[in-house]
This record gives sequence, structure tokens and C-alpha cells, in this order.
Amino acid sequence: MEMIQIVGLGLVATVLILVIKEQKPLFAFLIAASTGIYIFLFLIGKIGGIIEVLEKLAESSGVQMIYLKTILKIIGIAYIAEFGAQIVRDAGQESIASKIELAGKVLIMVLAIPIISIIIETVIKLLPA
Amino acid sequence: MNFLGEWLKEIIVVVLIAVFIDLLLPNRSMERYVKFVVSLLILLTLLSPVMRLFSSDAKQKIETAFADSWGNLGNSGTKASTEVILRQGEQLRKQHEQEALQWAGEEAARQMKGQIERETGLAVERVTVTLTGGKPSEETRSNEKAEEIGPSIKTVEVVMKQMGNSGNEQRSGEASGIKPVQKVKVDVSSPPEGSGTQTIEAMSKSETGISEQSEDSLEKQQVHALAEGQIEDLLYREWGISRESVTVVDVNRE
Repeated sequence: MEMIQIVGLGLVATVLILVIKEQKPLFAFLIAASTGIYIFLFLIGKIGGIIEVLEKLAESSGVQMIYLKTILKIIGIAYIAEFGAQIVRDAGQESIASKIELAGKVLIMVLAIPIISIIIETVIKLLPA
Repeated sequence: MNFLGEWLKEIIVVVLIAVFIDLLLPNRSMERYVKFVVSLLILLTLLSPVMRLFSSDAKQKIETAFADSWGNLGNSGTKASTEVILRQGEQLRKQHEQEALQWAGEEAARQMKGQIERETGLAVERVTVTLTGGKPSEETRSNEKAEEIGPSIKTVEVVMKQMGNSGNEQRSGEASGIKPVQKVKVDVSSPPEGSGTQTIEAMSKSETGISEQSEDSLEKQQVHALAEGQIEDLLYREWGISRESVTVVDVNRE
């Protein structure tokens, strides 16, 4: 049922945009953005359920919560960057979209820095001095 | 075995989560980066026994490193990092306190040893002082008291040196170490016919020493009790330590 709702919303928004695009391109962009945000908000509840399951899984198996937090941060950065980049791309600003994606990639790499440093430290300790 | 099982469980769950994340990802462009970081996490999990081998506080180190980098991201990471700093400060404080207590105990023991040797003329092997720093309990009681009551002496153990002249005269010539005493003790515990298995030296001694053994040990006990009383008196007078917390161990009696 939810799937039908989302598809219906998408179809209605698409028809509206097609109608309005010739007269007011700005409103077309606004409709596209708001539709995207609505679907995104609709999905947040579902994503929350998945994350809850993951957290329970991690807690019961004794995985360090910091790992799960890192992974969730990564996924959040990826989603937000993707969403923003797509909206901007729809408006025809390809270069800004690619910058947003670049920022997402850099922030994901920043999250990897402590992991890399710990691994390198361990490997260096493994080597004979 | 338990440790191995936990390690395996951790790896399995991390890989499972990684697969979930892979499915959740919006599209291809981010995939390589996310996969890189997730694979690093899996590697970290695989390496965790090695890390635990090299440093005891590996977990804390990881948390500190993560908190640092998240603080750079400018979100709620700052709170976590202050928590980490506070925890480290607490640990350092405890360590310092422990060191100070240990040093104070050694110093007190040294002075006590000197005093006992000077006042009673008994040879003291070593003095061990156990201090209790019951700071937290004092803080809960009252603030003005906490300054008066510092760390207090819990127990004092005085180990006496072997007293060569307090033994009998027959052994005094040869007995300067602990060996003769042990041998005599063996003679007491075993009947004379059992001494056939022992060395000739011990046999000859058992014949001469067996008659004196009972009164000899009695006399030694008295000497020990006297010395113990002296030491306890001295410690009570000079240091205000109650008699129950003073233990005098005499090597001769062991």
C-alpha cells in the first residue's frame, strides 16, 4: 500500500511538473524538491526500523557500538549528499551537484582516518623494531 | 574458546551489517568510498585480538580516536571527546593517588623500621605498611573532615630478622642461616626412629637437641611475645596504630 502511495505521489508530481515547466520552471523545481523531501521523510521511519534491528544485533553480539555508529554515520552522509546532489542536478546545476558529492566522499573518508591510523599503528607494532 | 567465539561473533555481525549497508546505499557513486571504509572496519575487527595483545586499553584508544575525528566534523563529537578526556583525567588522578600512597607507605615503613631497631634493639628484616586512602567515603561524609583525615594506616607487618643469639648455644657456632632451624623443626615433628632416613648431621643433632627442644621453643615463644609487645607498644605510642593492625612475623618461629 505504501509503495502505491509513493508511486502515485511521484506520478502526480511528474505530471504537474510537465504541465508547469513551460510557464514557470521555478515552480517545477520546487515541486520536484518538495516531492523528493516528502518521499525521503516517508522513508525515514522505515530506515529507523532497520537501524533499530542493526543496533539490537550489534548489542547482542558484543560488537563495539562505535563501529555501528561509524557505519550509520557513513550511510547518513551518503544519503544526504546523494539527495542534495540529485535535487541540484534536477535544477540543471551539474557542477554544484558534483561538488556536493565530492563533499560527501571527503566526509566519508574523514570517518576512515581513525580506523586507518589504528590499523597502521597495530601493523607497525607487529613489525620487529 | 570463549574468547574465540566472541571474536567470530563480532566478525560475523560486522560483515552482516556491512552487507545491509551495501543494500541501503542510494546509488553507485558513493559505493566505492563506503565499501572502503566498511572494509577497513572489518579489518579492524579481524585485528582486534592482535591489538588487545599489544595494548591493554585498545578499546579506549579506538574510542578516543573516533571522538577526536568526530569532534573535527563539528557535530556532537565534542561531547564524547570531553567525556573521554574526563575519564582519562580520572584515571590519571587515581594513578597519582596510588603512587603517593605507595610512597607514603614506604616512607612510613622505613621510619618505623629505624625506630623499632633503635628503641628495642631488635633486628628487623622489613616493615610493610598498608595504607588506605578512603577518600571517596570521606567526601561523602563531610568536607571539613576530609582535610583532616588523610590516608590512614590499615595494617603494619613487621618481619623480624633471625635472632642468632636467642637460639640455644649448641647451634650458635654453626647456625647463622636459616637451615639449622628448619632441620631441628623436622626432628620435632618426626619421631627419633624416623630420623634414620635423614642425613647424619641431622641425626647427631637430634640426639643432642631433642631433650632441649620443648623448653627451647617455649623460650623462643616468650622472646617473640616480648618483642611483639615491645613493637606494638612502640608503634602505638609513636604512630597511634592500634594493636590489632600490627602483625609481627618472626622468621625463627616459622
